[in-house]
Amino acid sequence: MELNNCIEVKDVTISYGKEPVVEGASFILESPFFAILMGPNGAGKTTLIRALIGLLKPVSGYISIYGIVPWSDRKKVAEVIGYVPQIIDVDSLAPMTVEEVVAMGLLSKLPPPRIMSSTVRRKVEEFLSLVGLSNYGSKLFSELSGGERQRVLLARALIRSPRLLILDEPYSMLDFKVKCEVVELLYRIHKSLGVDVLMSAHELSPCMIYEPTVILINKRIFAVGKPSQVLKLEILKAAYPGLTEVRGLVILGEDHAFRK
Amino acid sequence: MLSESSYLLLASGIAALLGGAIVGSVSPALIVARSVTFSITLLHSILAGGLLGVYLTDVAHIPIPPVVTATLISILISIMTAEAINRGFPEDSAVATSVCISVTMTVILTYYLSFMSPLGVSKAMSYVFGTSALTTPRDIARLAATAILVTPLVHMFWGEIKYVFFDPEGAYSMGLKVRYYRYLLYALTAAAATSLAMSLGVLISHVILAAPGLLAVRLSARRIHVIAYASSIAIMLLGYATALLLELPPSAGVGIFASIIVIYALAGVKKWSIR
Repeated sequence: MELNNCIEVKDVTISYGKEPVVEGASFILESPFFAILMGPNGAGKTTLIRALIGLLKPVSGYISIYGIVPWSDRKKVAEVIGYVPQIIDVDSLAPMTVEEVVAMGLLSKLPPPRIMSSTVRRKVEEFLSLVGLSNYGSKLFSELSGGERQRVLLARALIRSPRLLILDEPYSMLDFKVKCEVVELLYRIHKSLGVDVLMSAHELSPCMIYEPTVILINKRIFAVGKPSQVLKLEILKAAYPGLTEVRGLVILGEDHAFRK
Repeated sequence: MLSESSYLLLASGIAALLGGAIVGSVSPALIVARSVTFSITLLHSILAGGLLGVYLTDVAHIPIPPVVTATLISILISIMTAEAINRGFPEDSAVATSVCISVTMTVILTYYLSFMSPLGVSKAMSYVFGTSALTTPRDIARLAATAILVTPLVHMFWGEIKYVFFDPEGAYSMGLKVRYYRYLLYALTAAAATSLAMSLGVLISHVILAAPGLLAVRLSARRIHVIAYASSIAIMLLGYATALLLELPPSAGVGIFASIIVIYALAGVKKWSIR
């Protein structure tokens, strides 16, 4: 299969049991993109991301990551994707140093035995500096704050020189200032390294100034486009069942509001 | 020629060192993988496998040593447990299912053995409490073979083993074979547990497999293996020495010190703390 320049999700349905979690989802993202998969809790964002990295196979439909089908060519898709999981899916108390966490991003490309050479150590330090964590290598992952852990996982993804960064809720459980810092870092990486970015979130506010492409999902895709095209009352009403209107504001039932 | 007491001391010392090396390598991996409960499965299956071996040898007159059947059954059950976890079973449910299968096997085989070979039952019970009061050359050979197999493999894949339990999705996305590393850890644990159980007994093996790893994680996350090896060898040496002094089976001596370590490791912990 020939590599192309876009991520294509075509009529994808994913289910864990009888009920589909994602139904008939379709969208195309053309490189370069800085995109957000946005939707309420339980909308199927994580499920769709798991299918994009090849962890789940859809019941029907087709996914292509630059021309690679993720669940049938794991090796190739692992080469182009740098994945940052939700922080709650990581065992934060595991006895791992920051250096060990980041180094595995590089070492996993090699066959065993995977030995931490001085070259690997230098590269780890280089990428830790890139995410603003110079001299953190010997610290334990468990000793870091939420924002720092997120940066370590980002460094692990970046050290693989990916073409696409996929992040699952990269700023959940962080305070607003740190959320903005994480998004600012991601945008800087997108611009300076030319890496495509696709992240899931149920909050758009920290990203608004970067004009991301928004994919609005709640089981199915409701809209794809720039925030001004997607954040419209009629679209939001359809995607957010808990939406309420109070004195000229629309409250999505989560932690942010839009003016009508 | 060595005198009988010198031979006993030397044999016990070698067995303690080898047992310590095996435990020191596997125990931290079990703790990091939060799979101590998994070793319960193993020890039940070792008993079932041992009984099957006794049944085949004593009743069916098929000369397959119990150590072989115990190893095979424990590896089989451990891989079955790993596969169940891979398919989304919670670990406690997968362990409980495997324990059920092992215990059912144990009950059925004990029932038949009690009719057909009362001697077989007492042989089988030695797997519960430890084989003998003395360390035999066969014990040493078995422990040495296990140490040579298990210890280098755990260290060769230590990074990967830690990683697939630290962040399974991330490990998968980077192309690591999460399933195979789980199988590897469980199979190595099965081999280690079987070998230890044949010398020390099923009951004590459970404690000794958990104790050094618990202590190491409690004291320092950066020097896990150093502490695990030092403590497991110390537990083994002190245990064997106590057993010799008090004329107890090695399992009793080792059990006393392993229990002290577990109580110490757990007593001061307010939560799962890592420094």
